[in-house]
Amino acid sequence: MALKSKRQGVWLSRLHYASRFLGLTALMAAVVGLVLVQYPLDPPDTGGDDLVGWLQKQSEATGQLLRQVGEQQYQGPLIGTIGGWLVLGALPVLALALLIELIALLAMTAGRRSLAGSIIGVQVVLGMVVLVGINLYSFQHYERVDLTRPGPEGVGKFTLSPEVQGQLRQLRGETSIVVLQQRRQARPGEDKREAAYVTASEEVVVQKVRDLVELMREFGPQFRVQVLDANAEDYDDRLVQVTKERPQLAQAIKDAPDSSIFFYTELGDKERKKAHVRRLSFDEFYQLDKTRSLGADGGKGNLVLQEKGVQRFINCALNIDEKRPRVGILVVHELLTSQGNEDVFTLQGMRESLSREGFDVVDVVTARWGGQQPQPAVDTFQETKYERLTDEIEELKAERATWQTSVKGLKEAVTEWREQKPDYLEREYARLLRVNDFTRVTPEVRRTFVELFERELEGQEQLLDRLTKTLEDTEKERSALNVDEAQMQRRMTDLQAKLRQVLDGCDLLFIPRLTIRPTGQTITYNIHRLGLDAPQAAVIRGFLAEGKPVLAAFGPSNEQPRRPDPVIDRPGEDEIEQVLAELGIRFGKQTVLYTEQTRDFASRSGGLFQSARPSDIPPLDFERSPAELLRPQAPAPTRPNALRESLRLTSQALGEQMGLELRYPRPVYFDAEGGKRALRYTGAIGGVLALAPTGPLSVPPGLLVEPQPAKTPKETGVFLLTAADSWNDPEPFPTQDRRVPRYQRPKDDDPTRGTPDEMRRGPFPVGVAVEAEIPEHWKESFVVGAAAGAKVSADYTGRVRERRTVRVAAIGHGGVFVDPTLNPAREELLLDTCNWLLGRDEQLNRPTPTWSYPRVQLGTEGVADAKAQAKRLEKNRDTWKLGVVLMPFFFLFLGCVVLLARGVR
Amino acid sequence: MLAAMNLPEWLTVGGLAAAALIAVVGLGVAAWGLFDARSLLRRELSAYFLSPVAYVVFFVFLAVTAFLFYLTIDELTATGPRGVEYPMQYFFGNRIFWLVFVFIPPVLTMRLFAEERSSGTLEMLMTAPVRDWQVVLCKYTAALIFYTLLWLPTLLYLPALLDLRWAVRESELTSVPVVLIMVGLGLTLLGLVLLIPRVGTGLRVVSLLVLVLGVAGTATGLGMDVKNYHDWRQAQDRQASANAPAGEKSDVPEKHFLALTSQLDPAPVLTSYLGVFLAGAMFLSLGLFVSSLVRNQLVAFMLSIAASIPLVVAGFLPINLDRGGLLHELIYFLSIPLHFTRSFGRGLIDTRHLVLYASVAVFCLFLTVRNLESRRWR
Repeated sequence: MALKSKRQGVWLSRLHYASRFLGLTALMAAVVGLVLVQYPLDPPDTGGDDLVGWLQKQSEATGQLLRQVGEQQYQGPLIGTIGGWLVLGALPVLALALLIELIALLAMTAGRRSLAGSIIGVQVVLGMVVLVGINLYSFQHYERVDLTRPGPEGVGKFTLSPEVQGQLRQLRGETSIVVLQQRRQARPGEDKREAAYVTASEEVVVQKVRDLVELMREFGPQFRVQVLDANAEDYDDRLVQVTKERPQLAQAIKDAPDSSIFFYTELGDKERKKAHVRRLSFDEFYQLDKTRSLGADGGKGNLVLQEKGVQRFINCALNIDEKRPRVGILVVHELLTSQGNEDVFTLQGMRESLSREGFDVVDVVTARWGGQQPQPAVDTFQETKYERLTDEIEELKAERATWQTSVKGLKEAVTEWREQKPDYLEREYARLLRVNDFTRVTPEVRRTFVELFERELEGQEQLLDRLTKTLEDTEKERSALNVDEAQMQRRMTDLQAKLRQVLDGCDLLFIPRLTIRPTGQTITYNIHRLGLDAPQAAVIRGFLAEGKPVLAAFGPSNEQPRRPDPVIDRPGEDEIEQVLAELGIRFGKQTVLYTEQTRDFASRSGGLFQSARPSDIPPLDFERSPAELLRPQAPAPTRPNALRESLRLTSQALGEQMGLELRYPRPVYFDAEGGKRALRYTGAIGGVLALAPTGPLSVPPGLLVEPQPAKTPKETGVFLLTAADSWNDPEPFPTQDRRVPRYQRPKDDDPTRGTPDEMRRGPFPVGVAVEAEIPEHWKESFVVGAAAGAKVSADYTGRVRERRTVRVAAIGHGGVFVDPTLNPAREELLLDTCNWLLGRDEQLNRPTPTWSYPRVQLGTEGVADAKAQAKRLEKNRDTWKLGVVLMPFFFLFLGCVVLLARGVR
Repeated sequence: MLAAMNLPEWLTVGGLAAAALIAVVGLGVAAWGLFDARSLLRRELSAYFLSPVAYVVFFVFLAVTAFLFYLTIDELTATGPRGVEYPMQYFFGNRIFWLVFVFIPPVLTMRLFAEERSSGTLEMLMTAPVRDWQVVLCKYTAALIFYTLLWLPTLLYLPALLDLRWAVRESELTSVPVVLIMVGLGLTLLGLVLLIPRVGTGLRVVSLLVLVLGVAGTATGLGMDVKNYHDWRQAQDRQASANAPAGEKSDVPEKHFLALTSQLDPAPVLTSYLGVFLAGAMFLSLGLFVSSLVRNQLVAFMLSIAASIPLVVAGFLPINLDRGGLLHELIYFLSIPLHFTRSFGRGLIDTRHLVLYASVAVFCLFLTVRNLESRRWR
């Protein structure tokens, strides 16, 4: 009995060994097989450098290959087949070995001697279940306790405010956040130190984005962050992967002028999925404050960033499908539009900047220039272009017909000279022969003339080909336009109705009037009045009555003497200026000149040749408070102008880069009473005179009469102010009597004394942005007009009636946004102004807390002198380092002592 | 508040209360067990300090942390656009730290059972009048104490890393909090001295009482002083926010003795130390379990490292956690270095990490006990 059981045990043990051996061998074979099947597989496209993505895609590809091998449909290299069969063959053996192990385990636990072990095994399994269960629960129900110091909002650095948390919880769908790092092109001569700060700031912003998204994931939908570094070697590959099947995102990345954060999502059902992209520049999230960075820590420098707030970032994620505000541009000529192709007139840069920031732009041209005289019109850019192209086609056709006739004549001449008899030629071409000193048509003369005509014919045929090509291109360009719509628009002869219709779709109206170019060349101011008469002005009043904002950028109206033009120089008030005046905005009648410009005038008066580059002028002043200068004795406004404050902060951050210059601007004033109380200007001017920094000026007592304002304005309207070294000149051009314009103190009997037009020293307000009260009669006119047209609902007219104020901004410069590409300063001015006008105050810069790297003083905080402090800090730091480095050696010493002590008997 | 809770909330609160009760009872039992087997604890602890390996560990560990301190302090005193926002994150984000850290627990635990097994003393230990779990707990506690002591010298870095500043007001030297602190410190010292000689249980209990009284007195005194300082600071802040004229004295008098201020946020330091303690506790229990499985110390060392590496190395794989997704979340959940760079090193405490460390530690201790028990029936 005992022998029998022993034999059984031996056999079972051998069988068990065999099963284990086979199992292990199968495992080895499977691993080798898996490695082999990787060879024929293509490297997977993972969309980045992520290991998880790589593993997922690689395992999918491996599975597919194994299936193909199993179904004997694999066509790849032999190594793949071998690997596949190794895996497929090993799997059943492995399964069998595991089964035998399981049976053996059961047999062991079923035995009486191993009962205790079985119980422990169960305990271990239960313990494992508890371990996994607890961690699974904690994985799904966790808390992140933020113990960091509370910030100004009363919460730690890694805690979102309850409002934001609530907003994020409402979000649905998936949002991709692409962080594009692209260092701005360093300008020639740019300080290397500044460049280092910019690079470092970008790194910090990327980290901040990551941190914020990590927080947002706790509440909102799945956010996925991808970082693209334009300087990285694999940038192009990664860009392709990130923008795969996302053309809108690809375009947005392509258009981005600087390092930016893109929010991309696809909303809607499967059939009508619509992609939405929003861009946020790094500066709008965290802006590098160069001035403060360079001067931080007693001049040693530190990275100082202005925290623009989490809210902006979150707004981008929340309002990704927000309607794009539409900006209407009202100009008098196609060249002045945002699609004009002349660099000196075009607003193309404005269109680019606005489009990039989520605005739509529509051009409206108020005059038609096709005929002898310009005619008032309300044409969209498409219509104007259609009109222009039609004219061009007509001209080209006429020109082609002329040349076709000429070519035909030449061909006939060549034939005649080749085929006709000499008598005929001598008769028909007698004059031509005489001119060329020939009397008889000899064979030589015939050949000469044939060659002459052929050469001429060849040249004219080439010209005709070019003309035909141009004509075809122009016709193609015209046919690409939406002709039906354009023609429908053209049928509307009621310009007022048409303007109203065009403006209905706009959220903001921009009216530029370019008059003096930087070189000093002028465009007649009155030309901009074309097509903007009383009916059109009424439409603009209605637009304002609806609460829709207007931005007027009017250059100076001063111009050199010229012969009056009956079409352009029409009598009567400027209707648009009148509309603005009713809101309290008044444009000065002079041009502001800077002392630096006298050099240009002197150069110009020196003859035909002059310097092409005008001299540098001082930038606009964002540091001085206009409230102090303009209303020294009036009650101080309760808060600074939000727009000016935003620009001031940007100017501070950008340092010299901001340098916003306006050459030949025009003063702009604001009076809350709509200009009814003229005396108030005198007070303002008196204040300016009294504070003029260029020397003590006598202030006539009458000017210091303190007006009594009806109420204190909430904030001062002025947001752009020239430098102090300037004056207002009614004649800003060299003339015969005054070859170089210079500041001249007005005589006592000067009629402009005591008025805003009095010649005086700067600074001058050249930009105002106000929330003006809407006159009641404007609202009534709008409501009456709307009721007549039955275009709007009663609710809407009710809301218009209730509306009290409208935002309006005026800049005393018509070319402020004229450029094919706006520089950062002008772009900032444009975007800030548009955002403020549209009530998007959260987009403006506000005094915000700053972020910087923490620095330790190591006991040097009491040292006043910066140099001594730096020296002592270095010394203390080295002492700390030395002390810390010595510490391990102390323990080594202790160890040696213990070792020695243990050796003592 | 309780009445307003729904069923799941009731269940959660009930579960938490039960867990807390179990934890308190468990800790109480463990404390009793440790006290009961204190001679074993003393033996294990003294074994560390009598071995040169401990000092080598101290040397290597402190050399590495000193190097990291060197780098961190350079960043904290840098000029220009260089710097570090979270010093502790910088400290724990360095791969060198984790390269060394992953070796420390296996070195501390490799000999605990493997040595006993190979030298045959385990059988003797098993016959001693202590239970298996007491043996495991004493060895584990000794390792944990040594591990904690390993970190203690790094506290010396803190005045520099936090830019600590202090001011002592000598006029408050005789105030109640200061007297309490002095008396408390004296009693603590006395209690510790009394614990050293081998005396009877009665005197030992008295010395423990003295120690507890001393610690309590010191803590109370410190608490009172901190409260005085805190009240005064709050009054100052209120005054500042109310735009009171500069130099105007606040109505709350200065009563504190010591004003200790940290220019840098101390939260990341506190959370980091909590993190390293718990992570160490987890790795030590893992090492202890491995040591209980094998005879050879070297094998125990290697196996412990092999078991620990997956939890460490995941933090250095090229994985973009910003992409989100369950798999990425799981990797983050299991990657200890990432816990430090993303949570502990920045002043955050994530309950997932605490639960992971504590549960794995307890489970490994449980496995060790069961493994020891299995010797009886094998």
